[in-house]
Amino acid sequence: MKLNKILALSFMAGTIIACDKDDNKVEEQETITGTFQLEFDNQVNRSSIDLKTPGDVEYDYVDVDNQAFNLTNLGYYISKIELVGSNGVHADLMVASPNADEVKGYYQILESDPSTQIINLSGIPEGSYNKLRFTLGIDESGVQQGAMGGILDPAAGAWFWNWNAGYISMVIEGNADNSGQEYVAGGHNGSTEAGTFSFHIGGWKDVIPTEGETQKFVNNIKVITLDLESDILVTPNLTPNVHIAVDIMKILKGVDFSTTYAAHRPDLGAPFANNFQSAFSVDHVHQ
Amino acid sequence: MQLVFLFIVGASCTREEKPIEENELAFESPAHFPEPTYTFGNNPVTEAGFELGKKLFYEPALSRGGSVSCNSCHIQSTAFADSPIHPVSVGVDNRLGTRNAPALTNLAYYPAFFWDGGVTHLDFVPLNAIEAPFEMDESLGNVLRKLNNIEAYRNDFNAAFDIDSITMPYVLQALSQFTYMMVSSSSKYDDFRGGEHSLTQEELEGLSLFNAKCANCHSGELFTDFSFRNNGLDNQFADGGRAIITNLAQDSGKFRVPSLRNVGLTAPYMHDARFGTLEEVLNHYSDEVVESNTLDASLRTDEDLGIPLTQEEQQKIITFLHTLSDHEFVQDERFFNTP
Repeated sequence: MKLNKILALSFMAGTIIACDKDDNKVEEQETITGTFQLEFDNQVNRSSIDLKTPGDVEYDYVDVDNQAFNLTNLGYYISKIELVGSNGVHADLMVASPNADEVKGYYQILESDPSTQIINLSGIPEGSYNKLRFTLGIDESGVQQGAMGGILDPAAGAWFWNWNAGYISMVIEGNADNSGQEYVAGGHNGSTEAGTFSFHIGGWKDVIPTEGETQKFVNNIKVITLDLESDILVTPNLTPNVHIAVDIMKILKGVDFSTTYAAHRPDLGAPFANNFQSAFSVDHVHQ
Repeated sequence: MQLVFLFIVGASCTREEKPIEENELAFESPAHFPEPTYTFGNNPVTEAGFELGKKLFYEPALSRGGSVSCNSCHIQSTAFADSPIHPVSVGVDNRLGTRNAPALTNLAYYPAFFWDGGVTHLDFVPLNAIEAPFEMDESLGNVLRKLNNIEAYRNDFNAAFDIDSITMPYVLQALSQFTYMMVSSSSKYDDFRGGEHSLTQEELEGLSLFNAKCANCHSGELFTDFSFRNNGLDNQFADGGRAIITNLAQDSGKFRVPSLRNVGLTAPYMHDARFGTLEEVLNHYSDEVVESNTLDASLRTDEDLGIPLTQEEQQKIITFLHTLSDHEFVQDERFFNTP
């Protein structure tokens, strides 16, 4: 039912846009707009990240428990970006247009690809904004659209679980000096090096339980809310740039690599997902 | 409210809207069926898309080595269930799967797929078959390379989706167009329900018994409530079933209540194909239900396990179940492997 509504709404939105383009009788509302830029700075306890390869024992970081580790792969999905300000909530309109060809409004931030770390939002109504909200991961409204293209295409690098179908919200992989991971010889997906760790944090299902059963799915989709230090002005002439610091150390907080070195199920990802909000902060703003 | 709005908006731009007549195919839901779950708005069926989906369904190039197609385990004559001689699926290099391949009918109405319900959108179902080592054991990249190397496929995808290079989302959408059109609603039972045919006395008695004894789980017009239950096959679970998806001990040994449409055509039965006949199935429910921690409450009473049924009652229920066989569907030429 909820999904049907979403579909009806996106269909309506699509129809309206189609009308606007091809039928000049429909007047565009005159709204003065500007652009807004988000930049994700991934770090480990204020250190920048230098991705290594699996098996590399040159460790870049040490946590409070004296565990030495490095990172080999890092990334996450961001969607449903919203700016909140004095003139209301402005949602990233692109989210309404997923299809098999491409997806808009969904972003895969990859440490290995700096170009993915900057998100340009356009068409933001002029005004001042003091809060930023986004979804970490791909929630039900995205997964249940079915096959989509671009960064959500499993054949084009999307992080997707087939067996428990849905997208992995965040991937954190690396080497740790005390990792309990043993060498596993090459199988379908290649071999696994000793001393590595691999945390794939996913799980979106929030299905209503049947027959009075308790909720049984772990939903690791998190909405991250960040206060901007002061009002940020969007006008046609200004492109504010907000740097968001993402501290992976905070997400790995409490992990004992000797016993926890692989997470590939929603329930095993929950402790990491519960740290997501604390890992994100507004570092600085270029107005 | 939404409908009214849609109508007005639609009327103001009729020029660009594709008239429905252009598509010879349309998904038509039988009046007595529930609301479909499929997202038709993202992937409406077209003649070209359906034909392409059919071609892919029968295409062994989807598998490593080119020996297995969807059709290898989903055969029209058994309502797109597996052949009775394959209790569990047979993949590349004759690798055996662990579960009985289910019938592919009325998929447009399913809230979740597979015996454990791990997949919640039809589009994502084929990914499992393609990548599973014991099924097609092929990478998505290889599938796309093979298809893109065949000019006929490039033309087919262009005709169906207006794309020049074949990508996975369109492969999945084409397959969904073919499979969601597999609506089975022309059984003797449906004719009876529509008032066109009567059932025999024994079939009617079977229906009545079925409603009293079986319809708690096999409810509604699809003859399933789509829940996950432990129906008392074992007390140790070789296959965790639903627990593989929920990671909860309380779901161990639970599997999806299967639809009983065409059940007379889809032997063998249960997730692991342990019963060859409906007689064995009914006998199980009556006399062979095994106690375990997660056994469904409906199969346990104070004094006994299972659903006590006399031999005569079991036979009547089976007679009724055969009225759910849709002989029109299994002979529907639209699904034949012909261009």
